[in-house]
Amino acid sequence: MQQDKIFADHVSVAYEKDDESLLAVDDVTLSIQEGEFVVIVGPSGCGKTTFMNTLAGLVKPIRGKVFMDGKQITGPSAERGVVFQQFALFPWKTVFENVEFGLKYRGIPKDERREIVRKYIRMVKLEGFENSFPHELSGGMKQRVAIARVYANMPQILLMDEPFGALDAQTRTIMQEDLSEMFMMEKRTVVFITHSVDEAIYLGDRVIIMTARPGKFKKIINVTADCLIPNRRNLGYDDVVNLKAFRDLKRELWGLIKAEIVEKRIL
Amino acid sequence: MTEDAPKTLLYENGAEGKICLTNILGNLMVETRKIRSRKRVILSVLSVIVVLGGWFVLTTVLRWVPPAFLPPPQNILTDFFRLLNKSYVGHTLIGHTLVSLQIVLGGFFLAVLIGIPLGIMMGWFKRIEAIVDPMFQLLRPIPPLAWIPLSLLWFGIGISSKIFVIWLSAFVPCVINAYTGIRLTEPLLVKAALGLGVKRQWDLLREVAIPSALPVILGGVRIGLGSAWMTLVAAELLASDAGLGYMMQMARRALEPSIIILGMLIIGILGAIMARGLQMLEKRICPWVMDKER
Repeated sequence: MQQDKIFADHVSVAYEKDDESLLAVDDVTLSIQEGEFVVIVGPSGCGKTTFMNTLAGLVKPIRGKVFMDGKQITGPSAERGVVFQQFALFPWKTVFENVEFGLKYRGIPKDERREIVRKYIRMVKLEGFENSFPHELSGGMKQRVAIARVYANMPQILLMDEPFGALDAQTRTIMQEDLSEMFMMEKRTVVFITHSVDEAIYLGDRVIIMTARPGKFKKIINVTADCLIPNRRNLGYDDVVNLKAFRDLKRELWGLIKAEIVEKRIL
Repeated sequence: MTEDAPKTLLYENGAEGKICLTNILGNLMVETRKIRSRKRVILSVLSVIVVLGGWFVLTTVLRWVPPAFLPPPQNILTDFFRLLNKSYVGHTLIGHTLVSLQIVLGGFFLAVLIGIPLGIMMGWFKRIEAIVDPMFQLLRPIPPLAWIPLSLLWFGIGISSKIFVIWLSAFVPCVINAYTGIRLTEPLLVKAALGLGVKRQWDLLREVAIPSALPVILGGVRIGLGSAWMTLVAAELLASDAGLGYMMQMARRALEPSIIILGMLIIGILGAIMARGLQMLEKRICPWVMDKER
């Protein structure tokens, strides 16, 4: 039997707020296979980010365990690279130095580092901006740097926490297409968090719908395995969005999420 | 189809018009900025000329103000050249200036050298904060000048007592800003670094916390330099046997106001030069911050 890349075993996570312990994630079990693009979508404040921080090793669960390749995750590691909504670039480092950052800690020699950095800056289409500082870039470009930084570091898993949430709609669409393309070029295991149903269906091999807090998995949809939207990865965003299969799926997913929002009154 | 075509054309024209307009506006703004900066220089030069001219007219032409009260500007200039190589109360002007500079820079660099690492350690390690902070909070409200009597008792009237007091005055802002800067480190950046493979506390401090605190730390250095100068003159006025403050104090006793004003001017000019130098250093060290502020 093939081993799960990630296995979350009955995981519950709580966080402290105003001296109160709130349950953010409630008894969640999930296994992710190598090379899979998993999207978690849910109403805001449902514990998506908390769950992702748990996978990253930045937060410890109060119950249950998370494993990567059969080994328990106990802390953050370069094996699980994170892309944050707020980019989290080092403002005192240039684009090149930001992308190079993790490679230094992998002990990769300088010449090799330079080549890797060049490659990924090219992949995110930022050639010519190597020596710019983050504040000189637009939001979309900043997120491209962050993606290149994580990609270059060769993590086993890419964790993306609403990476396009801070971008305008036009930039967002282009970034989604580019990410899909990158994913095809260099297959990685990705866990992607969003509250956009469109984004979830467009990108995810598997889409997981979370309930409102405390977050549980409400439904898991195998977009790729069940071939719900044929040929999706070869089409542009606009073409996919206008497919009937996409619209049907979107209606279904949105119905589920809306029900959560209305039911638990998190309007 | 036929209906669509003119619409697009219209739209395109409109867009072009807009682009032209923004170009014009952009150029206009660049132009006005140029004019503004030229105007500023002219105004600055004018203001200096007006103040000096008014001073000259009041003291020399109209003679409304007696020289014993406010000497004319040219007297200060002649005193400047006279004292360049002639000893006054023990030293030439250059000698007094060097003594003062030595004290200021000595105290200031010691403060930077000890204060910044201490502040960083306090900001980063909870245990060090717990040990140092109570003492620091207790000593902090005492004005540096209040230390002068004790420092005279400990170190005598020479240079070290003043270096001590100046060290104290610059030390406090260095510590506070380094501490605050480290404390303000963006947690998201720490998370990002951890996710990129940083494992040791020391690397986190070196690669994330210190660079992110650097602008705040340099702000503390600037404040420290300012208070070093302020404290210097007070310390020298109170107890000294050389230095600009001492020279001014002696000139007051000898009723030579032009030498007092000369001392003031030198302190002002040196302070301004050093502050400007620090600013340039900041721009070099933190290019990402200065760009944002401009």
